[in-house]
Amino acid sequence: MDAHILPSLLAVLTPDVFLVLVLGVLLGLVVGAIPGLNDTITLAVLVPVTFSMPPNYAFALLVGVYCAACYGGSIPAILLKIPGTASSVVTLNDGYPMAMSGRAGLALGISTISSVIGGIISALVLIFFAPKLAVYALSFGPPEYFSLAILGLSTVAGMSGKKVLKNLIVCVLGLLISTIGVSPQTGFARFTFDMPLFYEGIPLVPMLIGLFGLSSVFHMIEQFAQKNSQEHQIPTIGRTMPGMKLFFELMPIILVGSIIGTIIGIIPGAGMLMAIYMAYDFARMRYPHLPFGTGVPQGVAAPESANNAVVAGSMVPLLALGVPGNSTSALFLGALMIQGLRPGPALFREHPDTAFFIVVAFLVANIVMGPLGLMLGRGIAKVIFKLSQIIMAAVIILLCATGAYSVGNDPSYVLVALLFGVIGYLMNKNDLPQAPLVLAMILGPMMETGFEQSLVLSRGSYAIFFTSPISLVMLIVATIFSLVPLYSRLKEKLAARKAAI
Amino acid sequence: MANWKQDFVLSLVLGLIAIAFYAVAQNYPHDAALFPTHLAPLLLALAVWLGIGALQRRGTGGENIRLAHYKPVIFVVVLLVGYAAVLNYVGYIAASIALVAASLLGIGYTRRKTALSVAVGSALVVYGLFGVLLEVPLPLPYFMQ
Repeated sequence: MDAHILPSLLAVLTPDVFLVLVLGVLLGLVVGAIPGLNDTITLAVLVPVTFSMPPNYAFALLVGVYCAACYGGSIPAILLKIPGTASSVVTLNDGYPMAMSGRAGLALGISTISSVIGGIISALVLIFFAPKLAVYALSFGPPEYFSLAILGLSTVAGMSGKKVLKNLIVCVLGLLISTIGVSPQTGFARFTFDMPLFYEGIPLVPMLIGLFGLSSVFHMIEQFAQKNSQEHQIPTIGRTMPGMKLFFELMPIILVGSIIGTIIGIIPGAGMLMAIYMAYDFARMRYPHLPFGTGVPQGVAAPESANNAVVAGSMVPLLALGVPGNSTSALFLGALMIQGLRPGPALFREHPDTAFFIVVAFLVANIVMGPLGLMLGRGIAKVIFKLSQIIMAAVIILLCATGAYSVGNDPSYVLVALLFGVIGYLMNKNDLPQAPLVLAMILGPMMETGFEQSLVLSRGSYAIFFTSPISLVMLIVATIFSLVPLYSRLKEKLAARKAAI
Repeated sequence: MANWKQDFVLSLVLGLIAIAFYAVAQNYPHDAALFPTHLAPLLLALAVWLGIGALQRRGTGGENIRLAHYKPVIFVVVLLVGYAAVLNYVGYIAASIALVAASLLGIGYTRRKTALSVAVGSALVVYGLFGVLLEVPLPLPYFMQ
């Protein structure tokens, strides 16, 4: 197996192939950084384009875009509080406050370093441990998937701090909204009111564009109208590279985030959001004394290492088993089939050159992304900040509307984005966090399917969730996560009582 | 801490959403209704909890909700509804120019020429990105279809 790695590395480093890979990384950085564009839309357009390309060019381009778009999304998240992609939803919690306090460059630098390390670690796992990890993920059944969804939602409780009630409300609301569409078990259309648009549930990308893009623009407009424009608060980019002391302080969080991202990435359907929440939550637990949400470097490092680790991780089940880990890696499935290849265990045996080319390309793309990200991130930042806030708001409205339209080539997708834009804006006004809504909406179908299938398997007995060791462990961890805010509150009360005495 | 009036209104809205979901789900087959009929009462209970908490904070301040405050945002929301409605008839470029220019001028941006230039420039650049580079079939004007 290892005999294929060096020839694949040489193939990736061939000047023309390497150039295509670099172009892919550049394209990924740009589309990731532009709100409304993301890796899925870009790959969906690029996959048919690769039909006429030699396989090495095609996969170099797609791998470059996939890796870099995920990182590129953190640039507007840090600088504008608008995640370019869903993978940067958590990055803005601390990245944006860092930018507002004059440490925009440092936040970008930490994001780049964390993304590169996360990407490299998961690419190495993809190269060396893919078959074993894939076999482990394959052993998941309905009870494990249900418990996984519970675990994912429990991280929201862990993140809630003093807003437990509002977080719970948002989670339940998200789960309820996730029931819109065809029931996964019965095929019965629920809450669709005979509108085909909602048969497959609320379209995710327009919803994200609205919830995070348009709602932020509405906030900018409100501030401009009150003559309270934030233009004077635009932070300087400043130095991008963290000092050695800070780098070594962040290293444990980056490594754990990378491991979480890689493991979550190889679990089909688990998704990037769960990884970034878990990594962020781990950071909060590891450093309980740090004021997360106010511009803590660890709050940028954790989600950024996790989200880029998910990218290569999500390719493990696809390449080893033929099961896409997420929607973007599903597009890779199409690209492989266009090239006449069949993903799955046979791929490594029958087409080892191509299979190893792809996995090695992930490693090289992540390495290339480091310097390019640092250079281009700074450039993009400067261009963004030279624009007037209100002009930028108007252009972002157009980008969001166009991005939403392009998902289904239908104006009704613009209305979906608008609806969630208004919801997001009102949520902001009422101190309701938006990110748990997205997590609940994504985990809802997994939870519902896992729950119902488990009960069918166990003939109605709930014991099935506790008899499976993996499920049991996940439920125990979920309980621990859920108890964190209660424990913190109890600790605070005891400390206050002690101080009073 | 959030305004108690806002929290109280929020609890009412969430309560109504929960009741609506529950009522509609009652008409579905048992298996399809299972998940939503478990979640809706849970949301209702949480909404009641929020409402009670808000009422307990009554008298601790809390500004009235003024619609005039949200005028510019409402204006842009209406613009976007109009944009979605006319997109397939007037075409992407014309609708987008109108959207950006109207947004800027409607919000209070005073430089008309700049607003128009930005509108034309951004519409063309975004069209180039999506329509040409990414080959998204953006709508043409009705007479060109």
